[in-house]
Amino acid sequence: MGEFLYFQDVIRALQDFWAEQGCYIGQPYDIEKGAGTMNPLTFFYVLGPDPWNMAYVEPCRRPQDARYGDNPNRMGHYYQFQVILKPPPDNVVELYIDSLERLGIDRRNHDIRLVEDNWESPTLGAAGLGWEVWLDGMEITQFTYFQEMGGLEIKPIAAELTYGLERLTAYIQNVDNVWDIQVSPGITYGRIFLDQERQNSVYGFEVADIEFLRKQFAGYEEESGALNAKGLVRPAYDCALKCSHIFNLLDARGALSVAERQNYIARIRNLTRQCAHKYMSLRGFDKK
Amino acid sequence: MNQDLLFEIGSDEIPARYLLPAIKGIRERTAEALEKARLGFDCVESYGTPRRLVVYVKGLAPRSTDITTKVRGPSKKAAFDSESKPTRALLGFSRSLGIDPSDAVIEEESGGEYIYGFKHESGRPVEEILPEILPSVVMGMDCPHPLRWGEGDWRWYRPIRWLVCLYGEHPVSLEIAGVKSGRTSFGHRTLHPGHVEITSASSYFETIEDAGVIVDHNRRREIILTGARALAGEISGEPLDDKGLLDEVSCLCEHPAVFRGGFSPGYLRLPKEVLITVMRHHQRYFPILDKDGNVLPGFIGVRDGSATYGMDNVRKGNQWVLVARLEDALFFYSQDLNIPLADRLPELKGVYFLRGAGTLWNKAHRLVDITAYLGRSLGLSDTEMEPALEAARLAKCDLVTLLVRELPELEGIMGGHYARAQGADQEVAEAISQHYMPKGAGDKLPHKGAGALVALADKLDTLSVAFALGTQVSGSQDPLGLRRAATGVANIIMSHGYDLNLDKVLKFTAELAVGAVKQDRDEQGNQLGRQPGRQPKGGKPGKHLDEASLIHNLKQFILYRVEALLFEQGLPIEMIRGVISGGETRIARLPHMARALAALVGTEDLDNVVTGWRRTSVLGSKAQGRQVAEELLVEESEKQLCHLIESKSALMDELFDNKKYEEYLEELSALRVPIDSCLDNVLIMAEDEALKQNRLNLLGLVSDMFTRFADFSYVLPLTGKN
Repeated sequence: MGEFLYFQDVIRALQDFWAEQGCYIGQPYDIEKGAGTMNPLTFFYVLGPDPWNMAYVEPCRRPQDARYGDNPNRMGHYYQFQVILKPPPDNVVELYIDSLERLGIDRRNHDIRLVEDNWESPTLGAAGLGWEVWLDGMEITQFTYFQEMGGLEIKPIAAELTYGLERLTAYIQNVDNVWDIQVSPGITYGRIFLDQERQNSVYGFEVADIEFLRKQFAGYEEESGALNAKGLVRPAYDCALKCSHIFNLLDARGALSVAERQNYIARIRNLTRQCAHKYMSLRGFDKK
Repeated sequence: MNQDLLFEIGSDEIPARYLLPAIKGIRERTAEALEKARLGFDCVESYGTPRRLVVYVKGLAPRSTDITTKVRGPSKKAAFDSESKPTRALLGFSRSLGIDPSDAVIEEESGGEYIYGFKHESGRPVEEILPEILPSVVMGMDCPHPLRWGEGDWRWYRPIRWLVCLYGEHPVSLEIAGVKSGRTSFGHRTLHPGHVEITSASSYFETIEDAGVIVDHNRRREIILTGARALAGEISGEPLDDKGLLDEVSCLCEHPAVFRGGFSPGYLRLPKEVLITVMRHHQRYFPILDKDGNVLPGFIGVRDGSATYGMDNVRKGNQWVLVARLEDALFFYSQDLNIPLADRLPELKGVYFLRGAGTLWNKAHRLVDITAYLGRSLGLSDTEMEPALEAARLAKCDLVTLLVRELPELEGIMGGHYARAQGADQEVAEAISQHYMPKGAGDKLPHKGAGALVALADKLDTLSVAFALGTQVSGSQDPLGLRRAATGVANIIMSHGYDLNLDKVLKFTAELAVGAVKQDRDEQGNQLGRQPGRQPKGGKPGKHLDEASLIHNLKQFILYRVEALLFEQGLPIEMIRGVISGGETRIARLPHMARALAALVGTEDLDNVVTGWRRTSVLGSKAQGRQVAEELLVEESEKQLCHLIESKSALMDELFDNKKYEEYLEELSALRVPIDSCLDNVLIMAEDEALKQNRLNLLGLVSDMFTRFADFSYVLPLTGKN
């Protein structure tokens, strides 16, 4: 590999690369979410017929994946780099590999493989076919051709590339532990995020107030439905995102039986589905 | 002149599990289409990698063959008018064949006279035919989960990116899914990025191999296997023998290169099954085992690319990933060890078993009840049953452990490990780990004792509940694995010789199952919105809750598996069906009975037994009772038969109960002469009603001795008689 890349350099290199490919470089959304896909820039913009090419960094919160900062690469909070190409160009896989080369990953020096992994998000009503991309056996990217979003078949389809930024950087920087990643000269990832990770692990697994969360869920659920009825799909979707995060917390807290868990998922899916349908009809996309 | 055809379909990476079926499928479809198009060829070969399917047709004819077919037209009557001139019907017919009406011939067929014409189709050039047939060869393939893409909403494994179609040296132009064919292919993604020009069909293999692609999947498999053995041998080990894994990894690369990695021996404190599962399922590595089957701290990985260049990076990266996974497994394992299995019981209340039949907690209770019932039926004392009951109680607890949630394929096995580590009795731990056995055809059976009892109870319960919920099993539709469960039941009972009465056992389990479904329904009524996971297909539960028909259906389902198992053991199907239809419900006895009967094939005894059955069973079935009055026996031969039966009855019962089936059949054979003598000399259907009933009752008694053993109508063909 060539020059040393800090975490911020990795992000910058990816942004530059995809901007050169004609992508709009977006910004993270300001509500907690479990995956970059949930950013409205993906959720709403893959619906409908218009082309959409975009890339952005998205922080993700998955309380269930937290490990008190003890695991070398599992965390309850991390960053994804998300690319949407709609419709996907024919050489999309090659472009993706080119983007790795931009990060100094010489394809001849490594093992890059696309291993089947069909992604779906039951809460978003999203489904797609694709792969996990393995770099020397490590999953660094989820590569998906979206087929559905919000329970609606999408056309044209979109390619979604989701890079796991910490893993990728740890690998590039040759460190065994994501907390040792150098974010910028003299600053490690751990110095910025380890305290937050530990505290949130305690919160998510041990402390979160279950009754408070349940009430919040019910409140946001009701609000989302009411907003949708008024045609206010964007705030309605924000409320659905809130529900999704609260559900994740309840799940991590071990507060949900299997049946309840399914029930919560169905309730969130119902909200996002409403948002998608309403959005399509407001835009007139539902008429053939 | 015949030439070879090369047809390469390039695509984004086809999932490994579909590749081998796709390679076979496209060969068959191509051959079929060529034959249908009357294009001659020597043979069709096919190959594939994740990025391409390759069809190679040797000796393909340049033109399809000419063909002349005889076509029947209108009747003679309709073909000519009263002045013998051709009618419009004849003219139309001739036109459709492109012939002159005068070339039509008249022939007689089934009484009438008809016009016949000869339709001649000239052969056409291969370049014209291939563009017509190849697109549907490709797009008509059976893709289980097709991806939809592009303007045409095309559907295939993954998007098609390029097509090469060369007949000899000549490109054949065709279009599939918006892609036009040519002579441009693409090399290996990392060894030879970019395009490759193919000059002729026959030079394809060399050119594409130079571009880093080994298109023959069998060769890739061979390279991997040979390499893996050599590398494992360097640390005195063997790669895990796993054909499925070998197929998978050879379908995950275009140019395999094998490497060996290692990990700290500290992780070997994880159970062997965990180590293997993490390496095999998650990373597609071959674990390395020593000669005693212990896991060594190393693995064999397969890279898609160079065997040398950058291999250190690849090894290091893979080791890094594996360590993170093992670290995670160790975290789960140590967390799980801290919670005694029994303390997990309440958690089972939160996990559904089958939708509509309560939770795993309910299931655990039924498991204990059924295990106890089986133990009692087998005459076990309470103390003897103790380990099985404890195992039944704890069997499902590992389903809520962290490690089994992460690695579900280790259900049961982890329960056994945790139980052992937490100080459970050895037999209890073993029974927990074995209670899912046998997991498939050829898998080992649980040991006789606690393991087998809990395994039986588990499968019987799943079957009973699924049937009570109306689950249908048909063809490939068996999502709950009910066939496998029934085979397991039959196999365990027969192999371990458990003298269980299937009718009684099913009555017990069906009653519990119906209770569970009803209870769930009552609770559902009070609790809206519960949406459990696995849902069996089928009709509404209510219909299936009639216990008698439930038991009947379960029994037939299991007996069908008994039949299949015995047939696999090489017993004649006539004997198997005969003894099963005889109604013996202690199924562990059926193999012995079928074997004893099969031993008679070719002997006089078989003839005697079948004849004895044939002569008595029809009349015997007319009997209204089994009371034979001594004073109503008139003829000498019927008296003899009656006395013989009376004197033999106790012995026959004893032989039958003690599974002395060979001797039992000898006794049946010996009845032939007295039976013949009686039936030859006595008018059974006597005019005197009392005499007649008495004689029918006697024959009823005699025929019972036969029919309790088998329904000999199945065996009849083997005696050479009808």
